[in-house]
Amino acid sequence: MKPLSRRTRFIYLAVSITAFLFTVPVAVFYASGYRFNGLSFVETGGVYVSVPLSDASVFINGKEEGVSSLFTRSFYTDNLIAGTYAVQVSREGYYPWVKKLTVEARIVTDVFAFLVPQSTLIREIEIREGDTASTTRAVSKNEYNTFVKAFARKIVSAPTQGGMATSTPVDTRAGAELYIEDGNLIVRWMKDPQSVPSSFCIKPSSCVQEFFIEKGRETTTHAQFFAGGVVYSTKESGIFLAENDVRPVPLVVPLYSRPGAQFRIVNGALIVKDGSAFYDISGF
Amino acid sequence: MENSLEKNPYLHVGRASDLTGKNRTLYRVFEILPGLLSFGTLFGLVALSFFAPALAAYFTILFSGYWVFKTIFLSVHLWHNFKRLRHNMELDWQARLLNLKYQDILHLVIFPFANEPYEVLAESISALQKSRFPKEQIAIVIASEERAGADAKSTALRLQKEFKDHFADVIVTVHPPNTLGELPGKGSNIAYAAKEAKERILDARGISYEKTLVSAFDVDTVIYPDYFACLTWYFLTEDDALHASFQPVPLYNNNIWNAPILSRVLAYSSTFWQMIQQEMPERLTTFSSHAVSMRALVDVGYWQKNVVSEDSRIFFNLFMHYDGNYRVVPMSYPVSMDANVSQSWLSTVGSLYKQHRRWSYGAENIAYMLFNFMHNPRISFSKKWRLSFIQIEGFWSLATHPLILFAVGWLPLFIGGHTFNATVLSYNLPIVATWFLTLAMSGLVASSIFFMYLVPQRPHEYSWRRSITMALQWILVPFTMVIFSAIPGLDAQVRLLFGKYLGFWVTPKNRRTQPVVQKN
Repeated sequence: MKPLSRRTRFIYLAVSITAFLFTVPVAVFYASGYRFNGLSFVETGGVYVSVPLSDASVFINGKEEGVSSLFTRSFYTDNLIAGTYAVQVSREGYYPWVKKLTVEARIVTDVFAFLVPQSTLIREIEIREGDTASTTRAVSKNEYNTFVKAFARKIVSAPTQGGMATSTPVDTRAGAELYIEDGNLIVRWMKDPQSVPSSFCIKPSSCVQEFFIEKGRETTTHAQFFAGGVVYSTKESGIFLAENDVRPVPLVVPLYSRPGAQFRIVNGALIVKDGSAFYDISGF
Repeated sequence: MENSLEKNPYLHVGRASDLTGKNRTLYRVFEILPGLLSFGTLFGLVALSFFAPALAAYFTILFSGYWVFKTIFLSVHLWHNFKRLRHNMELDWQARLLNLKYQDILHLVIFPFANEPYEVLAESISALQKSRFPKEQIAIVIASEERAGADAKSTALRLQKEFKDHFADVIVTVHPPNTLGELPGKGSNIAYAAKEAKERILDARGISYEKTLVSAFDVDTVIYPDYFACLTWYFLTEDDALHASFQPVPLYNNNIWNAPILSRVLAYSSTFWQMIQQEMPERLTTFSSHAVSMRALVDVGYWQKNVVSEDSRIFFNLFMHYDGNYRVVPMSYPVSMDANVSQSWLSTVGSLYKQHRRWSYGAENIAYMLFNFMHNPRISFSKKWRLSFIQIEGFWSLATHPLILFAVGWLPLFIGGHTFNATVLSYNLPIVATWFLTLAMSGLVASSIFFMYLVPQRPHEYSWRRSITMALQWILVPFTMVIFSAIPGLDAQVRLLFGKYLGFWVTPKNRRTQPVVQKN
């Protein structure tokens, strides 16, 4: 039996090179977002939806893309012609989350599904030892005092000067800062404008450095980043949890609807003060 | 030897420090070249991933595609050689010699030997005893090292006494230590042994150098019964056989069933690479257990004594000496050797790394080759170009390709920046690259099938679970490619780059049980 002849080897080489030359350009075009449509190539974009929980269904323009699980918490949909798409994430017991996203050619619009439970648990905080009722949360006196001290701290909300913020942010997280100016709640991106997250972008090619979470309707008294969004209180209506995303339509959920109620995040828990009573809101 | 050095004063250059003046500088530049190319490629890709991540991503996709078709192309060669190997193992080579005049051929078999156990060498010589080729045409040289001490000497003498009546001759040579200009190791030992054997056997009996084939075995090389008949057939039927070396396929079957999983994968990866090259003779250089005529050895001054990679360097020595009129003939017939096994799992990993670093140190041949090409106008430009490309591309790809495929190629995703990370290309890069890599990994299925055909039958002390493990072990290849190919490759090249030359390292020969060798 003879070794492979030069001719046979040349044929193998030629076939390999030809297959390479046909396959790889297709792969490169595909990876760049080009798709063959009819008799021409079209540029496409995509949507990348991150879902924080399992068992949530993801829809794009009404078509189910999948259901999240322990191992699948994100959904990438490509082949989308530039335009506006309605992305919906639904989960039993949670507010439906809907977003209108603009898809641009060769760009992926990413979004984080903001899922808020429809029912939260509100418990009054009491200093007590031993068993407690389901409507109350028993804490030690020391812990109770930490709540008292937390609410004793004043919230700084200075007015603006010439439209530019000079006030101290009420909260900061991962490059974003929350400001209360003239009773309005603003989130600002404080890092390099090139690195602005997609939640600040009305569409991928059009991003802003700041946007209002609450503007004009009510007077914001305090705000903090919490549970993937922003929790804030207003003088008129109480406490809300809002989505921190400029794209329509931001989800805002009332958490505690009593005018004058204040809140603080103490050791990761949302604590509300209403009159002289303290409440713990959990279940996020 | 003096004539060869008069013809080519640079025939036995080992490293830049052997030279002076401009020659030294030039040789140094050539030593730097492999490392410069490999690190230049990797750092270039890192820089590209940072400054032009889209370009880097396109490159990764192109490269992954290239890897798929290269894998398919090489797998076809492997498949063909697998068929040829099995065919050759079925042939009656002794019968094929009947019409040839082979009775005046002498095989001189050198076993370089330091501190290896008696059993390892005895097994190798016993296999020679079972050869179907006439034993009176086989002479054995037990090439011992004086520095190995009295025990090694006693082992050598014991083996000589035990086997001397069964072969044309069995001699023991004792390589003196600390000889000026020599690197302690296999090259200097077998060069000394071959010269001694020439004087004590060939010259003493008036045997022609042209009729003597010298096999430079490792101490653990165990032949199959028809090996020397096969080798003789190639030698007698090959045109211009004195300008050729003969290369068998090393199967690491001696201890394959009791070798750890990493050893098995690496050993047979090496076998498969050798089998692929057997179908590409122009890429083939000499490797372990090659055979060469004594005429050629005498002409070139035996194996080079001052290098680590003497197995491959002898090909370049002969190629230069014969002005490019030299080649390696692929035998597609196996010899069996030991997979790398050490005393513990951890020390085996260390041994594997060092073994592959030593093999990768064959990159030292690049400087030798380029330097000699510049000083030898008698070699045609096309031969120079082809061999240079094959060698440089070979060591460059060995050190860089696994890292590009499994690490550097993915960097745009991590350092490409916010703008790149928002592109469809960024999201599709891992998807498309994974398609290609998954397709390329189908070559591993072929590897697994060939492996199971080539290893001996499962010894009774192992259960079927061992067979399953051996079939599935190939999923480790991406890991072994990086850890035992790319990293030691870069390690070897960086030593050449900085002139921190590597010394010879002897692979330990340990067996947990007796070797299992059988014809499949």
